[in-house]
Amino acid sequence: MEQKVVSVQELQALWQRVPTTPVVISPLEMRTKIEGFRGHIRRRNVKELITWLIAGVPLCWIGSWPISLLWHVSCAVLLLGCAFAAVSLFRRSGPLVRDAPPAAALVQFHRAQLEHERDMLRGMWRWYVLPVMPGIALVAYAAGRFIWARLPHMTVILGGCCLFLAAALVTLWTIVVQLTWAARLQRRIEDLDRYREA
Amino acid sequence: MTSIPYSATEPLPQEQLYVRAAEQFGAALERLACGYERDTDRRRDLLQEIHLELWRSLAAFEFRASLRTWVYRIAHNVAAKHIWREQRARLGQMLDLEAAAEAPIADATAGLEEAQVLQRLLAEIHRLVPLDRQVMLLYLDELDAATIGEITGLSAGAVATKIHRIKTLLARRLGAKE
Repeated sequence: MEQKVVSVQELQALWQRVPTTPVVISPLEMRTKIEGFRGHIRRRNVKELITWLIAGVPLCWIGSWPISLLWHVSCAVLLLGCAFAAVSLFRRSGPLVRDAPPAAALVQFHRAQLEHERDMLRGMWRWYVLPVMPGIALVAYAAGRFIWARLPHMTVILGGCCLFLAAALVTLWTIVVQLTWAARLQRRIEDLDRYREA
Repeated sequence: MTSIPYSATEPLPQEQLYVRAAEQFGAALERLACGYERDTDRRRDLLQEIHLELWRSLAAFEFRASLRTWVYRIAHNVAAKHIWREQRARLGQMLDLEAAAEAPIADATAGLEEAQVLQRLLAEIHRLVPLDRQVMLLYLDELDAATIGEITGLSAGAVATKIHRIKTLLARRLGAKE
């Protein structure tokens, strides 16, 4: 280790001398690892299903409260919306890259990654936010009607307005953030196209 | 591609290919993992992930590309995904070749021992954005411009520009003469 590096070629040679312990995994070991990986995916899917059930059960319970028929219908619509959003999220959040084959050229691979994420962000409001909106609106209406009969009307109106405003702001903010990120990714895709030909 | 049934006594071509690839490019894959991950344990994980993906992908290998191109593409793509997943927050702090060459230098490299130069070189590599890092690692592996273009998908002109910038970076930051 006394030699001094003076040229690019020597740096390349130095890089070639990086201490390594070549790894060769036996086919049997490889199969075991792949089985382990599949097991990991199965466990992840089961965990997501359990999480969804845990989230869905309280909503079913709340929906069973004997308030009104509208209340039951509203909760059912909200439950369906949540189920749709959960299934959509599950379907879309699989492998990060779907289009690029694993041996794609590096630029093509990067581009596919960016495109996948951009498209997911651009369309998220349609399949993640929008499906739960009718359910939320119906539940709010049914709850409002129920409370209207029991509390001073001004309190109900003010409370309802505040809740509506807060929900609208959160939804808008979420959509704006997603679209901003999507625009940023689009700029990176354009940079990448320039990079390929630079 | 014709599928070949598995037999316990006769290894699949996929497995033969994998063993060949691992023997031929094992050291290169380990250097590549060094260029992507500083932490020793995570580097071993990354290397295992690369080998796993390589093994899986070789089922679709059709000899249209050279085995070397295939192995490098798989390895770099897995490593890029690793960066994407693990260091997403840090991507904004990474530099391209030009910016990295212009960055202020802490001290001169003249008189440094090989191990120290290697540390400095690794530090420079880890600062680069993924695509520039890939070109840099391929260049350090002494691949020619045409092969780098084939692996990365960059045009010949773009590869030439990148190599020029890499040389500038190495000269400015590590005092390497062309």
